Amino acid sequence: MSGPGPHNLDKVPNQEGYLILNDSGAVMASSGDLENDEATAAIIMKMIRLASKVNITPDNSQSFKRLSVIFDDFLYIATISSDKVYISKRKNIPKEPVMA
Amino acid sequence: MGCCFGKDDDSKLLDTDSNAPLIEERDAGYRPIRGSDQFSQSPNGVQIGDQQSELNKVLQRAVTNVIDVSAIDSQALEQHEYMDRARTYSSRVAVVVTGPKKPLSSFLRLPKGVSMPYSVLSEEPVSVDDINLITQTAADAWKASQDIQVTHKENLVVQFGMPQN
Amino acid sequence: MEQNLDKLLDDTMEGPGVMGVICADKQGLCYSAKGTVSVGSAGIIASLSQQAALLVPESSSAPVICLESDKGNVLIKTHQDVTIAIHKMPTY
Repeated sequence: MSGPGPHNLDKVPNQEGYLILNDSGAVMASSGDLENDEATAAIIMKMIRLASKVNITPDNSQSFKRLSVIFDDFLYIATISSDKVYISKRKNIPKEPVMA
Repeated sequence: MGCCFGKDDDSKLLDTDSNAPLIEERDAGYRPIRGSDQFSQSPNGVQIGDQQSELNKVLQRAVTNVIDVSAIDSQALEQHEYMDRARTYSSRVAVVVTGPKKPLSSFLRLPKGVSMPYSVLSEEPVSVDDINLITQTAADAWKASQDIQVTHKENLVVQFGMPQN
Repeated sequence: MEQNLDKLLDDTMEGPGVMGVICADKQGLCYSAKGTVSVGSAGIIASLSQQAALLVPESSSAPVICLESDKGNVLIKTHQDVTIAIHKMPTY
């Protein structure tokens, strides 16, 4: 099994941890808060499958770029690239909107 | 398996006649039906012909509905046809097995996704405006949904075969 | 009755960039859908929200889920037992 390769995920700003999963949901790499966090991996994997299999709007079938789950003080951001799922846990630092 | 047996018996005996199509069908699901019919026929031999033709008709109908229609047309499969099919099927299987690597099933296949996961994950999260919008709307929707009730319009249970009042 | 909810969704549709909105109960029954969002997606929206809530089971309020794509974002949030999703073009 080859590793995920260079991914630079540790350089994502305000990051508290990351997970890289293969296409069957197994953890290939992890760090920080998400180190070996298989429970989180399984839930987000399920969400990605749900989101990618059903068209919520008629035109965005299987083409979402990012899935974010936003809690009060942190958020999970997940994306897919070449059959791997990349998940980053970031601090939620609300940016004041430019136009109120 | 046993295809030739079915043929032989077919020409000889009425009783085993009933077995012939069964053996030609590869569907084991039909066996019990057959068995029980054969059982009931033996005591009253007079009706055998009628029952037999009826039974054949029913079976034939079921077979055309249920089973691979192309296989029914050529009742008996010649040896070379059989080999041809075996070859076709195994070549198709080989294509699937040795072809481009695929995940387990279409349900498990992930969308193609993005080319640079790092930059996608590093982009700004969803705007606060959007989060406020959805949070507020969800709260309002919950409030509004409290007013929803099911109105009784007609009977959910309908009796069939009862005289209408 | 459902006029209030209907009006709320109509008002939401008026918002900047909003293309569609759907409201479902927690079993995925669609109360109302407007614009680009398909009625059949009520179930998926409800189950996405249920899964997301499992990420932090002790949290009192449900998280906001966002599916981002080039064709706009789908924002999803559950409040009590009602889930709402808004399809919206991002506003910068």
